Amino acid sequence: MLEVKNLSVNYYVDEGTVNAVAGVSFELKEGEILGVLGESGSGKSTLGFALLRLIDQPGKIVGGEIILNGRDLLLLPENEMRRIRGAAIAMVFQDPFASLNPVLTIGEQIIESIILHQGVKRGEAREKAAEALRAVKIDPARIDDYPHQFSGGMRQRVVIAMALACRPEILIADEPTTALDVTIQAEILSLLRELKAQFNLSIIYITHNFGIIKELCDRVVVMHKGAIVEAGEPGAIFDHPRDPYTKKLVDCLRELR
Amino acid sequence: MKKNKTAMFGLIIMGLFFCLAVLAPVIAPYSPDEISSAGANQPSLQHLFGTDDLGRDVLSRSLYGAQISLTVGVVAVVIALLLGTLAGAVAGYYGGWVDGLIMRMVDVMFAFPSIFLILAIQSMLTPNIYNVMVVIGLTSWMGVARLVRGEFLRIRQLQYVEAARAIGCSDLRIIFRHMLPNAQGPIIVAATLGMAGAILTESALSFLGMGVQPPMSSWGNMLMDSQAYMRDAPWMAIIPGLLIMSTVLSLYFIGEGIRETLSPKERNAGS
Repeated sequence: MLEVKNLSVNYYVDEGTVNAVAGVSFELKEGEILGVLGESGSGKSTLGFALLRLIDQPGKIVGGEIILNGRDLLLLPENEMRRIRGAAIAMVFQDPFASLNPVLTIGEQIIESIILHQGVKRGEAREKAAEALRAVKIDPARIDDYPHQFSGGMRQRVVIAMALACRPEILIADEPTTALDVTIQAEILSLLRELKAQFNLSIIYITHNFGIIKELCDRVVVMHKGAIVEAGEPGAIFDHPRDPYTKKLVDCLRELR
Repeated sequence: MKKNKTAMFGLIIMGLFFCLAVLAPVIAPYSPDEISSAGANQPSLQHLFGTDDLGRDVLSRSLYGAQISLTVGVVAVVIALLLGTLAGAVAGYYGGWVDGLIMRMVDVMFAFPSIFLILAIQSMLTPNIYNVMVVIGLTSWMGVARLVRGEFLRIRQLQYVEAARAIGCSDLRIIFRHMLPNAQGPIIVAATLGMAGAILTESALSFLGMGVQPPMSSWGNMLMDSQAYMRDAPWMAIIPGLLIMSTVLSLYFIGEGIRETLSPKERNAGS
């Protein structure tokens, strides 16, 4: 359903040009969880933002194709791209403490996305928002609470509810559990698995944690210096890493254990 | 805020002045233009603040003058806030050449000695209070623009702005619904301080004869009227002078109070 071909993103900084994403190609199948593994600076987050065309100055998508259901997203005008964001492809961010607007209630933030994309009335949007909260196991009675009234784990659930409110086909999760405790992390992962089954969601899970990849993902691509160095099934890669960089990552994990 | 005594003091004074201004027609003992005694008389029981050279009651003129001075202050600040916020928000949000263009305009406006600009504009137009309000507003938005731009540059980096873009919000929506409310603290501070500035400018303009025109009274032109009689009728200068000073000071107190409340040191509670 989503096919990325030869995608490249450059950052033009004072010191020169940085190839943050250098000719990346992969495919995401329906109902699949694809892991994107890499260390900080490997370009994995940039890749996530590029899929939604949210690369800001001084960065720029310089080449490739992002084909969603037969349409190349890179060729769409900005206003049509806006209709894709949140509706077909949604994103969850790393830091749940920063990804909710402190001055708006969580309800307002979920409702906003529903009204933007589905053109329904406020009352109906509110019901749908409550439903989205129920799906992530948050009491819908708290719809009028502000973000600071929630714990980190609950906030991340709210962010997920916000992302899934319009029933996107694809969810990009950029290290959604990195800022959370290990126990909360496990809760969020099992929630993602449940939601995937419930809504037939495809997920791109970006992380530096091989443990999570092994536990959650059907397939994984390993990124290093902006390029994909290895791709395959997580178990197989973990047991027999072919690329020297992947091998290093696996060794680190083994040492920790 | 409640603990800040000077800010509370300022708030009470300003509240009092606004009430007095609104109630001027009810509480003023005389009509502001009424000649109620022969020449300038000292403060007395009939004329609490004395009378001016034409025999008009200074208390009544001060009350009506408060209406004018405070209205000019509020309207000028609203104009400056609208312009400054819009310019600063657009510059801070879009960055790049848009930012460069707008901020250079701000620099140019800043480089102009604004009092001369205002005088020049006022001498071309017929000086009346509406022109005064608009002209003061048009020449005092730059500080707000810089402030809002700075706030927007900061907020633009925050993840919730990225999140808003990721659910498909338009730029306008992000600017006004997601970012502006998060910048409101410093804008409110700028508004109170800006109002003090506007009232001072109005007084200066009226003092120079380019502002509110007689017989309408404002604190500034009451001061101007007093010039020639400083020695014989000092109350004519002291009363409006004190009013301007206490208003400006109160506004500064309020502004500082809000600024302190918003400073990170005292903001760790809640969010």
